[in-house]
Amino acid sequence: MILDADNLRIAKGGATILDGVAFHLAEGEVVGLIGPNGAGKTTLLRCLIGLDRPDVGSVRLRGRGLDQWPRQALAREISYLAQSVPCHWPMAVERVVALGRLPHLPPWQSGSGDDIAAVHRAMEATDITHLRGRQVNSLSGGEQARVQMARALAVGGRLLFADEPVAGLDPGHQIQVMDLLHRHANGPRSVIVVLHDLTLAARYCHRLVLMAKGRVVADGPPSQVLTPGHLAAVYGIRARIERAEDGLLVVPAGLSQTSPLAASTPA
Amino acid sequence: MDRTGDARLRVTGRIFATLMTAATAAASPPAQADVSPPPPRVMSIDQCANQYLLALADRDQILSLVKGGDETTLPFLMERSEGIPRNHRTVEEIIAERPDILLSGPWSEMTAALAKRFGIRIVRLDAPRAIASARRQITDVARMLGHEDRGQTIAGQIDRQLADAAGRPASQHLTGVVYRGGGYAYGSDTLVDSLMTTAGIDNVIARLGQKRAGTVEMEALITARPAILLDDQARDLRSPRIATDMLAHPALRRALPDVARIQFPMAYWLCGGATVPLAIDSLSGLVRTRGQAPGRLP
Amino acid sequence: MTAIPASGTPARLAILKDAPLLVLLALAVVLLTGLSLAVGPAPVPLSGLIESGDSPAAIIMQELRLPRALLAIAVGGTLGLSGAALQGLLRNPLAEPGLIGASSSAALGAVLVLYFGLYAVFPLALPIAAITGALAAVALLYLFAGRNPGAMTLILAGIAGSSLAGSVISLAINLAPNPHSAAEIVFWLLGSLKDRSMDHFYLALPFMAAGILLLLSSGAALDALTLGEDTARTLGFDLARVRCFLGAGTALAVGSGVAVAGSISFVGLVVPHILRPFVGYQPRRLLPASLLGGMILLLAADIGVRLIPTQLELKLGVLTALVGAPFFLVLVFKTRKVMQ
Repeated sequence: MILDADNLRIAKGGATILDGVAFHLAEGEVVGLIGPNGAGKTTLLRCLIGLDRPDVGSVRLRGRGLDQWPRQALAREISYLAQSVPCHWPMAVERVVALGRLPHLPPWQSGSGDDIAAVHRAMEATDITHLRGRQVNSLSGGEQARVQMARALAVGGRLLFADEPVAGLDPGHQIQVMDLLHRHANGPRSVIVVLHDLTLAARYCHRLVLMAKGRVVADGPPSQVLTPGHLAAVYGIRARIERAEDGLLVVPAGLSQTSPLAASTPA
Repeated sequence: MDRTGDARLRVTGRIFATLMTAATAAASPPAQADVSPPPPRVMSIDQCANQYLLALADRDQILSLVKGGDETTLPFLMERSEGIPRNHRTVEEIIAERPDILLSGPWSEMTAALAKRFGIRIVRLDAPRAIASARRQITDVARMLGHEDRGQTIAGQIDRQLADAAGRPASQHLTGVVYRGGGYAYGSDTLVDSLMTTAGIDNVIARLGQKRAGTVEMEALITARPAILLDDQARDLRSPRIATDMLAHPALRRALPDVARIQFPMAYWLCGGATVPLAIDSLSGLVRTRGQAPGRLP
Repeated sequence: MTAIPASGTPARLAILKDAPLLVLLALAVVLLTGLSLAVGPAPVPLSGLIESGDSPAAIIMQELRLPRALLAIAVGGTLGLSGAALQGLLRNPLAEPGLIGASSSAALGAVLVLYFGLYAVFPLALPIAAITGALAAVALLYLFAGRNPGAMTLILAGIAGSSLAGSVISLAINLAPNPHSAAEIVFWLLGSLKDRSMDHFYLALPFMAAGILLLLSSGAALDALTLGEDTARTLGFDLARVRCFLGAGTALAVGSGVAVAGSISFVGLVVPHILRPFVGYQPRRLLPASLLGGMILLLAADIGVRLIPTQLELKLGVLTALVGAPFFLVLVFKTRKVMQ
């Protein structure tokens, strides 16, 4: 196990966000975190990379608690792509991507040839090399998302955490990003991604973790997690699940009878 | 700095002697008891007017003096001011006291304007910019107070001093400057300059082309090489010293090692009243003692 | 497709990236320093600088113009640098030591020391009190405006801090024993480098040097903060430490500057704003450039107050404010449009 956590509990402002969550990750895996809004996906992600500290439980990276890791060494292990990343100054695309190399730089120094090569690889992988001289704030939303993706890839961490990386992207770029994540996970490198699109999740993830109300409801291969029973219980939807040649196809067909949303919304 | 201390003591001693005479003269009742109208009852709402009244009026003419500023304007008339009521420069007090004349100054315009609407006669004292205007203001105020003779006494003193000055050869003049913490100095169009010149001190600031009072560059001062450096902000006034205490600047010490540093209370020139002859007298005293000193600069 | 540089190229000092710009700015600093030494009411040759003996030329050069030029460099540099650092930290182009209240709080500390006559007894009390004042303002800002203040919060927090300090300074002026003391405080607050001595320079230098080091060392963290606090943390930066360094660095730099020169505002606002496009808007690269830019601006302004013919002395702080305030207005206008 490259990463494992057990019995994570965290409360914010009196509400329990995570309620005894266990998580583990093997090398080369793509794990999708799915679940309805407010299920605790993002908080789990933040706990796993040390942004939030669990009240109970601990996270171990390579058998070593996150607290025990020196900051910079930890930063070199983890690439993190937050849900929506601001870019406060109108810097050039290449410079923003190069920020991903910060954990590798000795104090007072700029990057070496390795760093520059990593930046170039990340830009190529996300298809933004042609934008390298443009100011980030002049780009479209999709382009900006790819720049942030490239910035995260440039870190070169063996663990890539992405929080809803395809939100706001057109289908073509959604597939491009998911392809990228999928290819990224090979050898020692793993990916953990928060997703709302269940079909994308089914197609690109080796394993899905379905969360609801701060707990893990199901954890396993997509075919075992994405069952009509689970979807009804967790999302309150009736869904048609079809087995296509390249994975599952999940088509939400309506709210289930038991859904709390059903009362207020005509089916 | 022993030399400075000595000089200061001498000056202060002389001033006290002269002032006591002036104050006694003012305190003694008028010799004649004619049928002239009774002297006007006066109230002052200006700190300099306080000084004029104490030097020129009878004590029972003074209804009240404005409160405050005594350390600056009245250091040697303090005793005489004891027991005289103080006002706070309010129109209410003015109406209650109903003075025949209200002496105001440059900083009490609004109060004076309002008092005027209640039918009070206002006389505004200005800060004189030269000895001539100071002399005129002294005689005017004295006449108004019904004591023309006192004004004439002071004016006579001034005239004698001016005559002395005219007869003094320029070779006996010394160069000097009034320079105070913060780099503040007086230019040619000021009473201070007029007093210095009459006493035989050539004001180097005037020579630099500055007309009014204000800050000067220390390097200009160094180039001008004054022989006397007067600090008119006496240390005993418990004033906050600002970071730029110019008088201790190493450049000044290095460039003018032999300059006579003398503390000379601002009260002498602040109001241009009865202190004018005293200021000239003590300044020319300085020139005499400095002129004989071996370290004298050409 | 661009050629990918061969791996194994050694790392370079970050500062080399902007070498041409920095060299240009440094040249301007040298040029203006020469000009600052040459300008003054007395005609004095530059050779006075190395002359031994007590000729007026030597004294004026060594005791008056040299400290003046050096202080312009030191104060201007630290102001420019702390402006750039604060803007990077708060990710807001309106942040500036003066606008966040650090300058006026430092002035308050200094005024209190001067008012109670501590300076005469213990000169170090002056910079220490000013630094403490500035530190209090930074702490107040963190407390008020939180970690990621918008333009409005920032300005409001600055106004609150400034008015608090201003009211106590007003009290000191109000209770001054005589009008001349009050005038002295007021004039000193206006900010000037006129007739300072080397003593002032030596008094401020160690604090300024420490401040400059603290600020410059936080450059990489400021770059990371461009992407927000969470991402900066995952890039390995301890933000509590960064805030601490930058707060202390700003307080040291601004406090010691105010202690010897009074309040000089807007340098920290104008300089980073002008230089930002030349360093690709990158906060880290903006730091050394702003250090030099601040030197240039204050040297030029201090030459300006000597050249602009006025009957009475034009105060340096007044000139920078006259230029800086309209600049600030335009900047507020632009920022407001962006934020809406």
